[in-house]
Amino acid sequence: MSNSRSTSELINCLAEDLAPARPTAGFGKILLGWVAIAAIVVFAGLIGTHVRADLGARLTDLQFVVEALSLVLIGVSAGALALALSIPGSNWAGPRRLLVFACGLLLAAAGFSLASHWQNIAALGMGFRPLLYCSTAVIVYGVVPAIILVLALVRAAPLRAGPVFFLALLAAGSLGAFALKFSCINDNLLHLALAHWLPALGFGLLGLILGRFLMPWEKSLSRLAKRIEQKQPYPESTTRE
Amino acid sequence: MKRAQDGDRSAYTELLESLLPALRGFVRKRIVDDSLVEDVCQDILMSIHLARRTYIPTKPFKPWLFTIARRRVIDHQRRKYRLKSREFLDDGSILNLEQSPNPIASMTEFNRVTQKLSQRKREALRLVHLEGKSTKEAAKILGMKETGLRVMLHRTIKQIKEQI
Repeated sequence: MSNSRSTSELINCLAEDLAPARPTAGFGKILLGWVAIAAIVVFAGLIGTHVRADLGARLTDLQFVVEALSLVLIGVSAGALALALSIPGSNWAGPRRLLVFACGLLLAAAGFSLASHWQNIAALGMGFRPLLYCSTAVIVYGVVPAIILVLALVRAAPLRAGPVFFLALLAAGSLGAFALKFSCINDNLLHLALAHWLPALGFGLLGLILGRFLMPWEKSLSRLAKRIEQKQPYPESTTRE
Repeated sequence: MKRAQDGDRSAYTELLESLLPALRGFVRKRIVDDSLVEDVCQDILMSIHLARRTYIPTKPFKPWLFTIARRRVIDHQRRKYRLKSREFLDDGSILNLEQSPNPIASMTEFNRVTQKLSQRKREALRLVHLEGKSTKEAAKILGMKETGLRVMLHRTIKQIKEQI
């Protein structure tokens, strides 16, 4: 609000504009609620489609478990970090560390897979259709958790819209990729990277663009400035020359 | 703040007024240009107003407040940097009209540097750089598109620069 209205006048205007506001739920409560809803959506999605036939056997494979665990951790920590960045004063060091750890874990798992199966890395499932099917499935699984998290973030104070929405959609995409591990039978690293993880990252990048484009915080600020100006227009002597 | 969240206006006014010196100090440490301190403080106050529901009464107030303040200061610095990097927005300063203490001198200076320009270009310059109208308003007055006006202003100022 770059203008000649004095700060004390602004304070009076803000006080006049004041309406009772129910405090948002705590960071932990929102996160817990979101994780619960996302889990329900993912499981409902899995029931609605199909679970892979060899799931029992795959669950005993350490590689599979580590990949699934790291995707869940990326989802939860990215969601937590997005929320922490949107609720001023929240401690975001923990979620950030967890996110770095989870990404490291996923990369380590990918590195291990690459080292042990490098000969047949490009052998399976690299057709266009599986790629398109899995990419779409990641987004479909992730879209409801993404909408819920974005709504929660908009109700908070996303002062850094770009990174916040990137993290929110990355979280949702990661949960989508996690869900897909239970239905997609292709565990080839190249397929996982291109059709599962890359779409999740792409979903996050879409969030970055949307956040910068929509700029909900900046828009709220300019709406507030307009509202104040309508209530109390500038005196003639103080308008811009 | 808890009372402000309940809608108590006098408590809210009192709170914002008591925060102001601390905010001014915080901003002054980070922004060199003293003339901008008040603007940034006003931005922070409006942000506090919008974000008031995110304050959780059981949590400490200072981290909440200064997270908002820090973010607004950073945003302001980024905006300023972005504006500086746009040649078009800096161009207007070559006329140095808005800062001039004497409006008649400004007008004379304006006439001197713009006498070779077409009527339309002179009008555009006068509206934007002398009267301080936004490009959108000026474009409406001149009956042209805003982007067209921006391009015209940019070229005109470049032309004046070359003449000077």
